[in-house]
Amino acid sequence: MVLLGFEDETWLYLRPYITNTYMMKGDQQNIFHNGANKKINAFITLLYPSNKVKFKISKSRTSNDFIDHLKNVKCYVKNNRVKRFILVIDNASFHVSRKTKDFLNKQAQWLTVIFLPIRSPNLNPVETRVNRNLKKDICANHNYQTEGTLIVAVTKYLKSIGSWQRL
Amino acid sequence: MSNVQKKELFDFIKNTRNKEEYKRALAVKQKIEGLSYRTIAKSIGVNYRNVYRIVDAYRQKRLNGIRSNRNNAGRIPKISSEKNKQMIKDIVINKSPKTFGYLKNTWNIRLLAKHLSKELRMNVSPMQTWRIIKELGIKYKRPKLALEHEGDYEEKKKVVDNYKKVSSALLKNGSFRI
Repeated sequence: MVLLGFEDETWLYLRPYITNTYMMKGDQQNIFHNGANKKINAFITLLYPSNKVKFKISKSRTSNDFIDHLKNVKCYVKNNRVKRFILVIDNASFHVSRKTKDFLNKQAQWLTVIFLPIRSPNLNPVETRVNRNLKKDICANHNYQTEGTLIVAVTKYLKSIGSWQRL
Repeated sequence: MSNVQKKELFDFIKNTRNKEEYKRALAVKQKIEGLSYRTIAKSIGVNYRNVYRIVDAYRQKRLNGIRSNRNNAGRIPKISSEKNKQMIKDIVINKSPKTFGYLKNTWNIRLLAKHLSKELRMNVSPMQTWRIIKELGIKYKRPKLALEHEGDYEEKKKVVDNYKKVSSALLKNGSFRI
């Protein structure tokens, strides 16, 4: 069995993402925040065409974090006896770093990596199907006091989309 | 007919914005002036029998007899009743979708229509929801991002404002140097 997945990552900020909302004519709603502008990163891999996601939330966005995420994918592939996993990724610095390339070369048995053309997020369905809605639904007009509360909200939302099932 | 009743009728003719009510009141006024039923019918453009009916209604119920009943016509609204409108206003303005278990921070029309269908046990369309929201005077616009202040903010603000007020006087005295 061969599976196709698209990978992307997104920053999620504690500072509220301001979007339009309903309020009485003449009023303007205030959304308070405590000035902290911390952020978390979510690595998201979308299984195509079932649109189920596998994700890893981290505080940084480095080659090591990306490799950790790939290890999670590897566990799934090994446990479900998938012959080959085709992963489509963009050309972010931590995707093309020497450390990541070394790791990817060692995974050639089960993993095929396809790099998207540079500056073409329109070819990556994760951007439109997951990241955009995640920011709109979770981060919009809401002040999360701590990183922990934001992580809980993001995890709950991504789990509601549906996680990869056992084959 | 007493003078008070006449004045009431004339005021009614002046103030009414309803064409139907105006015609009826005019017929009564002309009858008081002593015109015949057929002449009145010709002047206001109705059958003379209708003039009999209008004058009779005025004799029995006074102004209520000539008021238009068109506002009471039609089916009583089920979804957009006053009670439901207040409930919708409360939901949209004061409550977040999260309180009802939705994984969203802001309402949109489709989500609201879905929620109302569940709450009212009626099929509420997004278009109907949009119409109700418009009638309630609710607007879809951008909120303002503001900083949270600590407890002593107001006290310290007063101190700073006072210094701003007296800064020019302090400069003249020489005790305040930059």
